[in-house]
Amino acid sequence: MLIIFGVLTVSFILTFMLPGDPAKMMLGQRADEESVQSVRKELGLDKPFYEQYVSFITRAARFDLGKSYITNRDVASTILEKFPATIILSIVAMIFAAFIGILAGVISSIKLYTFYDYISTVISLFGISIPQFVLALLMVYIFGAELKWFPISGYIDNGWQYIILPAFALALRPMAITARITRTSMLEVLGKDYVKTARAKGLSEFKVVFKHALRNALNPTVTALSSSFAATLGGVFFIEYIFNWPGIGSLAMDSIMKLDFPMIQGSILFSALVFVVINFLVDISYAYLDPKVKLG
Amino acid sequence: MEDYTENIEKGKSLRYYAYRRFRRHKLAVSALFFLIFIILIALFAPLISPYNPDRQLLEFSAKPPMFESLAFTRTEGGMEKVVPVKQLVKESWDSIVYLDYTGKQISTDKENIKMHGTEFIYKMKFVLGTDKFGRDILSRLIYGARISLSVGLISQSIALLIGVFLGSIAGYYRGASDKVIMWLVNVVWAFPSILLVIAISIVLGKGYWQAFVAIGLTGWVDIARVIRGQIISIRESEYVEAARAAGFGNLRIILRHVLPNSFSPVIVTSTVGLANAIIFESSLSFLGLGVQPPTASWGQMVFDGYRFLITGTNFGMVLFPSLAILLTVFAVNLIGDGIRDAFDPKLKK
Repeated sequence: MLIIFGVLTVSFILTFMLPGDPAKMMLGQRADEESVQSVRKELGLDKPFYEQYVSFITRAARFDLGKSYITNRDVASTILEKFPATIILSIVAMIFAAFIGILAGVISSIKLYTFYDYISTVISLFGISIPQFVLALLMVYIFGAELKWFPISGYIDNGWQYIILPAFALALRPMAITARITRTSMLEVLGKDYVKTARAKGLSEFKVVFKHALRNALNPTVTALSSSFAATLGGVFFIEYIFNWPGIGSLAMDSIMKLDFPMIQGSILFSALVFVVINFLVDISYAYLDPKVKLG
Repeated sequence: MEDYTENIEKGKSLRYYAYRRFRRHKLAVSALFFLIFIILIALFAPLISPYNPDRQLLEFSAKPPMFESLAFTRTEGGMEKVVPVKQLVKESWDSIVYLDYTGKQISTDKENIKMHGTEFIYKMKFVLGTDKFGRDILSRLIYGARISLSVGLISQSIALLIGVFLGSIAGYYRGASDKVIMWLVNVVWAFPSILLVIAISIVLGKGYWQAFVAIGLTGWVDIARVIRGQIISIRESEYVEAARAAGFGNLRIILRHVLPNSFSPVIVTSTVGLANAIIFESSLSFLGLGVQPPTASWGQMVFDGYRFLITGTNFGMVLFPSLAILLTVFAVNLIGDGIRDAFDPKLKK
């Protein structure tokens, strides 16, 4: 709760310090002084700092984030309208990340120091190093423009193919992190006595790796995945913008390009709130389902 | 009496072993050399760069890599101007007849033409091609390295300064100051960092110093967390207790005993931070919020190329700056990896 209060305060201060007069921005640069003054009054911009602050907090508590300067639409409802698209994209990306990341990490750990391990380490470091907008552009070029495997721009209601490229672009970073963490924790677990016992019992290698080792190695992986889910929801800006995906990310980018301050403030605030709430939920869920207790 | 002291191996410092282990990490060492190479390029950009990175020659718009053309330099009222030549028709002792890029035949006398070595007409070669304004991509990449590295390094120093300061206060004194600082850390941490960087740089206005201030103000959080965690564990250790018993002041204990011992995780965190800072800088430039044109920066080059991407002329406009960002960040991350392995006592071979 205190953190949410802090988040609100920081976003208010940032917006308060933004250059330019909002009233002039709403009316256009050629507006006469009188109407500028009346709009300033209407928005409460003529009041001192602390009064504006209090009114901002009370309005935000009612989820009233003001209206867009450009379209005059309500910020909160616009954000809620765009949010499902972002959630769908993030979830699909997390499924990619979990599946491919864990598999790559497991294979790396059982084929330690082989060509495969080496390649997968280098690829995951690339995945961490590549800026999202560079990755998205390269994917647009390679898979969209040159190979023409997947469409490069549009929403999922046009067909499932539309989600592949953006979801993959979004997934690469968490995928890389997952692969590295899974590899490390698998290495630790594979040396444990119960894995040796399982081998000694004559179980197939597949069973040893996936039933006995992986289950016990998943704990740090799950932690990493859940924290990157929160980060993914907040990190979709460039991907959504480049792939023209109608979620919070492209909304934020569009408003940044157009300097639509209430919309910028709303989307920053919302992303931060989502981040706080998801991390909170993750923390709670740990208390309920510690994987060691449940699977052991 | 036997003298046992001869047989005692002299102890070496942790840093000595860390250095030896780092040297064995082949990838990290090559990454370090690569980064030094990029730093040298950035430092000596004016000497290395084949052409002026900002000079626009619209005749050469969006040419592919290895593009070559003839040209001559004319001096007009003290200014030098490069004139592209499509084809040389005739050169005599006092005049040049040539076809320009519109196909027009032009004849000019040599009076105002500057000698280029021993020739009037010389060959220009664009190893990586040109962008849509006909600027040399290689030269722009070389100058762009200055922006990326300097913004990365300065912003990371800001982040280190704030992070170390707040982190050590929180970790050493605990209590109320810890609560306040950790609250601030959690608040800043809750914002998606790229959005916070964007918002701060909009507040400060677009530009060079705004970019690194914005990135620095966002990046200190991780460092503060790491420092605080380290200090909390170190302050309970015996040598800190000993220092306190010896009557040393808090400041001296923090600076001389606590901080040096929390050194290695901080280095690892700040290399990751440096990598992120380079990514943030290029993202800001990509949005047009970083260094302002015509100054070359990698992110902006990607964006300029991106607008051309669909028509697909010179793909190098996007590819080369992307590769530059990618490889630099990759190298920094590899070095960070190497340092982490080197300081990790569990990995001692």
